[in-house]
Amino acid sequence: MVNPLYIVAILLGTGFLLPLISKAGRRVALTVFFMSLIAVSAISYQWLWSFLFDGQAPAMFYTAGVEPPLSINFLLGFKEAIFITAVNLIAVVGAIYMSTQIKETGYKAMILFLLMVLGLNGLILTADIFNLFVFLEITSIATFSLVGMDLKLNSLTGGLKYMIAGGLASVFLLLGIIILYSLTGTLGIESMSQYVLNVDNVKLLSIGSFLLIFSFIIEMKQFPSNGWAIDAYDGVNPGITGLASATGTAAVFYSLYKIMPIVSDEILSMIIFIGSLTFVVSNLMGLMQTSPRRMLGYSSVAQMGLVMAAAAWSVFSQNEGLFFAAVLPLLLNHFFAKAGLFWITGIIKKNDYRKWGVIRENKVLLGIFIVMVLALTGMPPFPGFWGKWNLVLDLSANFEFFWIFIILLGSLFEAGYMLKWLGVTLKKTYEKDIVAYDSYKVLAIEIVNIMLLIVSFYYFFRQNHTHMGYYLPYTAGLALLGLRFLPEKIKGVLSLASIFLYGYLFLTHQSGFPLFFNAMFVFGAFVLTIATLNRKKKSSTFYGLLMLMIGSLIALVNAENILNFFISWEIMTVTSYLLIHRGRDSEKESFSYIMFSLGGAFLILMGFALAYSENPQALGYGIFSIANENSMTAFILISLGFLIKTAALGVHIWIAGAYSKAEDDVTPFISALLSKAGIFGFVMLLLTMGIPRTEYIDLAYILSWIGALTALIGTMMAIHEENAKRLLAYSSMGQVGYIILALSIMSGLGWTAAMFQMINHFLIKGVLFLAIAGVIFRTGTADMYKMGGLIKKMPWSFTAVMFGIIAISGVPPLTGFGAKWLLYEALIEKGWYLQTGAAFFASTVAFLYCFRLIHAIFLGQPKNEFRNVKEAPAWFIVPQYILIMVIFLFSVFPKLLIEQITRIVEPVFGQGVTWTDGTAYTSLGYWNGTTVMIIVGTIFVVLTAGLLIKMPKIQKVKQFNIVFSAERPETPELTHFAYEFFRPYRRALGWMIAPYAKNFWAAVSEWTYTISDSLRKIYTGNTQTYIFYILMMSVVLFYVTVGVK
Amino acid sequence: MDNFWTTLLYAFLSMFVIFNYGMLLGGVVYKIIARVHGRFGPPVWQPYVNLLKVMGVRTAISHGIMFWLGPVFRFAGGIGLFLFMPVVFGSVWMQNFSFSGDLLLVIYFIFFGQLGMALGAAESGHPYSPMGIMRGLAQVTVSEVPFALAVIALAAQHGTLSITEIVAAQQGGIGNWNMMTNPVATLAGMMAFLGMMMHAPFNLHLAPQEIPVGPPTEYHSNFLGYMQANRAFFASAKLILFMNLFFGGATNIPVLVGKTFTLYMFAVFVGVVNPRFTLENSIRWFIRIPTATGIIAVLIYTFKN
Amino acid sequence: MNIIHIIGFILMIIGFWGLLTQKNMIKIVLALAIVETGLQLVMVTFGFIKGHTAPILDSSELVKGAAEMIVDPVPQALVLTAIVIGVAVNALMLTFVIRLYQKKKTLSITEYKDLKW
Repeated sequence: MVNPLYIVAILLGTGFLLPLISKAGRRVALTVFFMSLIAVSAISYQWLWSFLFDGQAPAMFYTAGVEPPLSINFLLGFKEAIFITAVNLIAVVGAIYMSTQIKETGYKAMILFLLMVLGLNGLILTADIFNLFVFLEITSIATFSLVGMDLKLNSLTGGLKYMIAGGLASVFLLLGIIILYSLTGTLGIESMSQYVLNVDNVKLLSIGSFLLIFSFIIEMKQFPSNGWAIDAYDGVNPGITGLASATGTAAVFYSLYKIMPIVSDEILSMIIFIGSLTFVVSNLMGLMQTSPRRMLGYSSVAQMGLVMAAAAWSVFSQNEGLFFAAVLPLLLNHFFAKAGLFWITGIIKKNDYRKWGVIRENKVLLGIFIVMVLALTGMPPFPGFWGKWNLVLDLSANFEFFWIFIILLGSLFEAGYMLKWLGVTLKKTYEKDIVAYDSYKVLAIEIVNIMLLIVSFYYFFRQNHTHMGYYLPYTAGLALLGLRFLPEKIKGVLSLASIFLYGYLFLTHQSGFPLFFNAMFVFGAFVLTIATLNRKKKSSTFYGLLMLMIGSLIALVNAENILNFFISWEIMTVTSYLLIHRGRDSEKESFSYIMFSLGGAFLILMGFALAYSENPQALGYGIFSIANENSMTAFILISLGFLIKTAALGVHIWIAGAYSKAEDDVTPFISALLSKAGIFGFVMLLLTMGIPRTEYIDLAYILSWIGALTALIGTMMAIHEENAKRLLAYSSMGQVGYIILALSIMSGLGWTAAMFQMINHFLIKGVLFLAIAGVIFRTGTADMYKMGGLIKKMPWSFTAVMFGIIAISGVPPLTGFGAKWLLYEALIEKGWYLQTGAAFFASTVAFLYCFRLIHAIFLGQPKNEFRNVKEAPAWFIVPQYILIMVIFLFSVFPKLLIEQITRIVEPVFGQGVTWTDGTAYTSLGYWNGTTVMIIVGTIFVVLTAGLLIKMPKIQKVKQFNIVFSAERPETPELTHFAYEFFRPYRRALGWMIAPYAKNFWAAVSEWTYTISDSLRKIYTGNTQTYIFYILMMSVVLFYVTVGVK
Repeated sequence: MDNFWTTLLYAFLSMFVIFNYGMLLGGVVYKIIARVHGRFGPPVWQPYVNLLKVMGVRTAISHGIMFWLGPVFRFAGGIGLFLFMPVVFGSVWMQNFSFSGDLLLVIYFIFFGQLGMALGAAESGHPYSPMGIMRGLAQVTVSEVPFALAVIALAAQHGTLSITEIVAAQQGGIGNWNMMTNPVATLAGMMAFLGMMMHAPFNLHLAPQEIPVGPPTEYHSNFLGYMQANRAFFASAKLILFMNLFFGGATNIPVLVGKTFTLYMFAVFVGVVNPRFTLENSIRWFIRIPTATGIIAVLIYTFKN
Repeated sequence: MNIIHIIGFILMIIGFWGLLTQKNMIKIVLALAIVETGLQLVMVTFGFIKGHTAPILDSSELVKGAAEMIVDPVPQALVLTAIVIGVAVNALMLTFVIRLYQKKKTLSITEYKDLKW
């Protein structure tokens, strides 16, 4: 093994020699410069390798053959190896990124760069606190000098602020060091942590350790002592910022971590508090940012707060494992993603995130950008996800629920601005601009990206608690993302084939509810994907994302523990967000979708954590069945998360926007399939946990009212929509409300109704959204009043919509009636009469939007501009009729479906429906779908035949052959009554749909932004203000941690 | 189903009876309204004359396939509604196909014809057709609320949704009628009944055809014939439904005639002496008093059980 | 707590006061230098033991009983390092100030607030 002292020797030696070498030419100097960096990396890598695979033991290295404190000594263990490897790697990559700059500035820049790397390595390796100071200063001076080479005003201002704050930090550090030394007589960190136990002067000891830690709090840029840091991130050359935000903070963090064992629990608690506070507050302030670099600055600061708090927590709770499970992935996530993103800001030199669309011209950079933003928002499979997950579970095992809340709140804020940036970048039109995509810069970023992915997959497999079969559904999507260069049709066919293959090979191995849901997902995905084959425009990612989303749905069902469930949930959220985001003008709507979805996901995670806390060894769903004092809260949180996904009343405001703005052939997936994910979540939760109740609160009753009111209000809102997709979106909201209502009954009949209604809704919304997609494809508008009379042009679409609305409104003889029948019987059986009334009201109101949908589009007067439209393409028609055939099958033989449902529901709740021949019996009534169909069919045929016989010849008339108050109308625009169709209804019952929820969430959002805006004003830009904050913070924290005793 | 053919035969018989009853009922109402207005009025067989006349018209025009199918839907809805209901309690041949489904089927089947008719009329392209439909549908949605609540109260009271069983429970004298045992639900139901029968004050949706345009104006000849024939079935079926639900059902045809006639007269007399509500008025009215009554009816059983 | 301690702390406080009140950037750098000077005084006092001599082993007597007779050399070493580093940092800061002055022709720190919020 190479002695790590050679790291110092190589860097220092090269640094000294460079002025000489540069005489031989810049190229030579640059080569030597890079070689020394690579050599250093190689040394660290070699150490890491032997720690990983050869069982290397930690080693101590002394200089000058003298024991400390008279010499420098290094400690190189596994953690140190990881850190120096990462730092040296980024150093090489950063040097590549800045190579032009370095070459231009000459050997001075190289020396400074090498010194900086030296300082970073020393910070990580040193085993005594004084050299900590020395290396910190070496790093700082080298970094400041590098900053100063860029002669821009902002760079210099930022640098000066940085230096003044750094100078103050050094003062605190030195004071702390000398006090600790005077008390313990040692500078070695390890021996000091032993000696502090024997110190008599506890007061002085705590002052010393406070000062030591406080200097690191400044160096770690914690709130509110961090204004200078954010300004520096903003102003300084992004090459250096990326390097500093990654390597600098990592090294400083690690040295802080090293000294944590010295300090007392009070101070550790203070670190946890300050770190968490910084995480939340900085992310909150980030919300108002428009400059990407400043956003990244706030995010960096926040991430460091989180990492620091997590590390302090792991020391506080003496949980060494947590360092590797949570702290390290959080740090590495930040490390690679921040470096990469800062460097990207150095290429796309736009100071306003709304102008970042230009990055779309470079697909490689765009891909990396997306990956890194998602990594920063903590999505699986990136390390940040694993870090947060493990941290949350560990906190939950220790009943620290408040901190979980804080972490999740901060993460939500962070996702807020990061995704806003991503969303705008992906969509917004941009001014053409020449951007220099220097290949070496892109290469550097690409290397960082690959490292991020490697770490992601390392943690992915390290954490893998389940059989690989769980991950199988994702493979198609990933493969299609890889094969993105293929023509669209081929990708579409491949998607169909993969869905079919999955269904054929794996569906048979399942049973019970998973089989039921997966059968729906697989069949639905297959049928709905047919419509996407109509796509003409080339898109590299569409099928990949679509298959990932479908895969996540299937994986959600396959999941056997909360981890897999949550991973699927997150992947589903992200992929559906990206899919919805593809739609035209969808930025606002998809943003609202992702924020609600993420909020829901975090509520679910919080609930999981609560349930997990009582049984912290297992991740299986079994944890829900153990009743404890937290069960009720856990249930409420988890179900709130699911309710958001199903767009229950109060959290529904995203639904119309998201559904209507998504591409037309994507909306069917979202409505027909994705909304069922929330239902599956409920099924899983209710099966394992039941519905908890106390003496005073019956959650089942509350849930039933949520379902009933969602159904009623959703329907009420649907009837006043002018846009067909918005109308159907609210209709979906209402229909899913019925499912929740039925699930809350918790009886055999209730669940039969729920499952029946779910299948019914899946089939119908598939048909309706596809039909509307076909119409929009031909007419180019979703506004219903702009159409009219399309029945003659699009008879197939019309017929499909007609069957759809008959089925959805619950009119016999189609399946919708079965769903309503089961629901009402179950509700009356349960004794929930008022909910029955509300559901009934909702179902009659549904007639209004059903009629409106079909009338405004297909009936009435045709408009001039659509006189020549054709029937929708067969790609849309075929899947509609496949679904209609299934609807008819289940209408004529409801027994086929109900028996399957009974088979899975019966083991849990007992039989809800009994059968005599084809007649279904409940405890209240009976229904025979077959005879109803026969009777209705017969009457219909007889009457049709009668009319045909009586009037064999009938005269067809032209468009305006009507009597319009004895006048012959000429303008179809004036004759088609469709706009504000139900205005009297709104006048009478409009109060029911007053936008309370919308106003509420608008207020929440506005308040959040207002708070964010006023908070960030504390960073006035005046250096003296920042000095004041630092000093005030030292006083306040001193009194809190030390002065109290 | 070995007795399928018998059932069918009986169904035809009862359809014949009810068709004529419905036609005559219509005639009687014309007469009564005329007398209230101080006119002499048409003879009671006038509906037959009307039907024969429209069925005899030779010309027929169509705006399209859905227009053509509208009356078919409508008529099928009327007949179907009737056929899914037990008409005379205890009678073998007046049971129709009530084994196909319970009260919920009957309630929902009411919409079948209305929806089909709405679609057909809307294809005519006449702007007043959807206006009338909008008014009609909007009113139905609210008048169904008290009705549904009343039905739920009945289901809670009797523990069943089978019409036959509900009628059976009311046998043995007027004291057992739901009118007496469950007066609140009956009150709610009867207020809903006014809306469902579509007489004044709840007949705004008919206004467009008085202008004179709207669905029945665009329809003519055999289409109109279907619709007139349907009116006989539909009205009678609804009367029978209410009779079964609240007034003890009927054990023989004279009782049936007596009760349904009285019920019909209730709607007619209310209509004759009242002006017409606007749509907003009627929606507000239904959502207030009748719905409140229905909620009370339901709450009684929520806390009783 | 001896007099040098107190002087050191007073110097530090003067420095902090200067940091907070002086608008001139050069004065601010100097204020930081004053803080550092005070700090160095405090540090070196921590290693001082009354009656002991300097840690220069120039006589055999000292070499034998070094531990009892000399003051602790480590704080002195630390202070030396700190002084060196402090000088470097201050010099660097002054170069920044000069560069900034070249940009905006003012030394008032309140004029450099372009980066904020």
